[in-house]
Amino acid sequence: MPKILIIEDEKNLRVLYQQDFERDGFEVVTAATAADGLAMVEAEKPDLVVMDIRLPGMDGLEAMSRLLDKNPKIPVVLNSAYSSYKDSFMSWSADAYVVKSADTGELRTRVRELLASRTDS
Amino acid sequence: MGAVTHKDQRSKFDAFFPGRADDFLRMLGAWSIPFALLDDNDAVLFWNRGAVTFYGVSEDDALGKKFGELVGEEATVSSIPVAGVRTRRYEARHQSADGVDLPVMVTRTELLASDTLKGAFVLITDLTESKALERRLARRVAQLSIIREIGECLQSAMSPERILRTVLVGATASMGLRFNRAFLLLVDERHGVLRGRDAIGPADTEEAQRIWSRLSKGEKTLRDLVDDHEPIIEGEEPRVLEIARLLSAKLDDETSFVVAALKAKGTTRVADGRVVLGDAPSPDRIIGVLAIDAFVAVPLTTDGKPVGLLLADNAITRRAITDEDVDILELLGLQAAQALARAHLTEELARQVASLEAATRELRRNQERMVRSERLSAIGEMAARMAHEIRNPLVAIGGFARSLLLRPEEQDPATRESLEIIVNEVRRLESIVKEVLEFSRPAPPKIGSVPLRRLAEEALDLLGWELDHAGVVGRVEEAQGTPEAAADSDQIFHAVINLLRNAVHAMPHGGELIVRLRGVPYGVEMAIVDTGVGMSEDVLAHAQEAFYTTKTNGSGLGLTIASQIARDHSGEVRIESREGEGTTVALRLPAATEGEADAQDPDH
Repeated sequence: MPKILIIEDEKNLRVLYQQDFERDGFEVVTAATAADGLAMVEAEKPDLVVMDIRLPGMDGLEAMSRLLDKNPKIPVVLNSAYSSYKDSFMSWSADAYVVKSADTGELRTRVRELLASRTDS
Repeated sequence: MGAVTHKDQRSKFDAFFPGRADDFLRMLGAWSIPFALLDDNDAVLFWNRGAVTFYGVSEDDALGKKFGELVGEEATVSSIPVAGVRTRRYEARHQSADGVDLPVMVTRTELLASDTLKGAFVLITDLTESKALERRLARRVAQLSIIREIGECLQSAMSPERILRTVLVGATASMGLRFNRAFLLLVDERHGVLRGRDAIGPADTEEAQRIWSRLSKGEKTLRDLVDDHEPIIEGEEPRVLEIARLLSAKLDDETSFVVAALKAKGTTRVADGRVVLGDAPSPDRIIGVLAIDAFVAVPLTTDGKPVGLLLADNAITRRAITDEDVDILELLGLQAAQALARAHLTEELARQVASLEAATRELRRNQERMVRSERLSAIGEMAARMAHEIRNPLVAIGGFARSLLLRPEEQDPATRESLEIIVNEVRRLESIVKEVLEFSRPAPPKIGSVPLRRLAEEALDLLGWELDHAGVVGRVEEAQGTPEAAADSDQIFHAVINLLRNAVHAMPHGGELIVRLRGVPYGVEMAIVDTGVGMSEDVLAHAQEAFYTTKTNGSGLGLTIASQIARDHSGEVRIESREGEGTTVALRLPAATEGEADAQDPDH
């Protein structure tokens, strides 16, 4: 069962994503800050990371680049309320960029696609 | 000479000068001034040497003849009565032996004794010299009044073109100096050339006759002639202009006659193909161009520097150029040089006023640009921030409603309908939030190639007063090979202004503000380094948030706006700070590639 790490500072959204991804048949672990999230990557070895960009303490983009430094192969999906980060060259290193929406359909589809292409290779 | 032969004449004469007649007659007889004594019948009693020479009539032939018959008709000019003596003075014409008509003045004083006419004393004055003098004087006066009129015309002429026209018209017009043709050459220092700029005059005799007959029909004033665009010459390009151009020469050409004439202290004059006044090389080339071997060249100087050459000739009438012509042309040259210097100053002044106006406009435009974009950004930032704050709760509300809908077994139809309403309403709210966000976003950057050094210098200039006021010294340092940025210069300028302001505000007691430019991989970095108060870690953590400020007078948006603009450019803003030591804010932007360098932003 693939394991997904959700890094999201809004508690309610963590619960929402956990429910939705578990229903899709994934194992879900969550973190509220970038620092916690980086620690969980080491501890939990997730197959994919979904993360917010605006996070307390460390910026999501910076957290992502640190994460990718150590685990260059792990797919990262940026999930942000800010569409403006989409064009930032820092975001280019993410595997997908999804603007937050009450309809989690797009987010879940991208996660499924990324995990599928990973197992193919 | 002077002997009186007729005895009875002699006795009559004795009556005038009792006892001394011989002495007087000897003296008067030797005079070269024509002089005669007449008796009461106007017959000649005495005829001196001057009269013999002047009238070509010997003493023998004259004595006893009526004076009026000898000298022709009288024309009385004035009559001056004196006690005991009546004097008449009149001008007469006398034809000399070789047929020349000579003007004479006859002064005839009647000699009376006891109220009885005894005879007359006649003095003849040759007026040829004084008549010529008078004519010359009249001409001089006329010429000087022309010079004055030209001067008035020049006073009102503002453009160099009109000055050239006025000078040339003055030199050639029939009421002017009456040269047939005049040419003006001006120094073009940039190209190192003495260039034929303008000319007036007929191309040949035929054209001259056409022009002069036209002019004689209605005498125009000098000003009228200058006002006419092409005062005398009709048709296409007048040939004199072609000649003027052919007179041009390189300023370093030492063999050139015109260059030597330009640099000469005074006028250079050529007559019969030779330089007769001044020191100049052979005028042969100029003679060839002008097709006449006599002309005058007057240098025009302002502040002791030669600026042009006025050249005039009488190529059509072939009238010899006189000393007076040259004198007057020199006066004209003096006036022309002054007028040209004045026009030059006026132009220079106008140019400086224009550039000052342009600078003022640019300054005002920059200020307006700053005010406008700051206000827009503040409103936009507030709307964006509110929209974002709403978005996260909306995602939770809508997300859970959808989540519930995915478990149909847990709901009755009424609950299901309610959940669907929640989902739909959230979708509507989300689309509103999206619209607000898109509306409040600044326009997408118009990317061009931006030299950051110039932009930084302009920004520092604009904030000059604020820097001075805070005692902050600003400077720009650029690492070698720093690329230009691919950016919207207006937006980046705005971001930089905000960052510089923050830096100045961080140094209330003065300090140093350095803008450091360097290339980074795939980009270019502008680091704004201050020696100000710095930030604590806590402040630093919130620094990029909207409305976050530790200042009492700021909106707290400066850094947020700069960050937003950087993000819109696919760039970023990084901050490093130590409390008490200062802050470095680094703005990173993508570098311009060759292609973008071509698409120059018109503003920078």
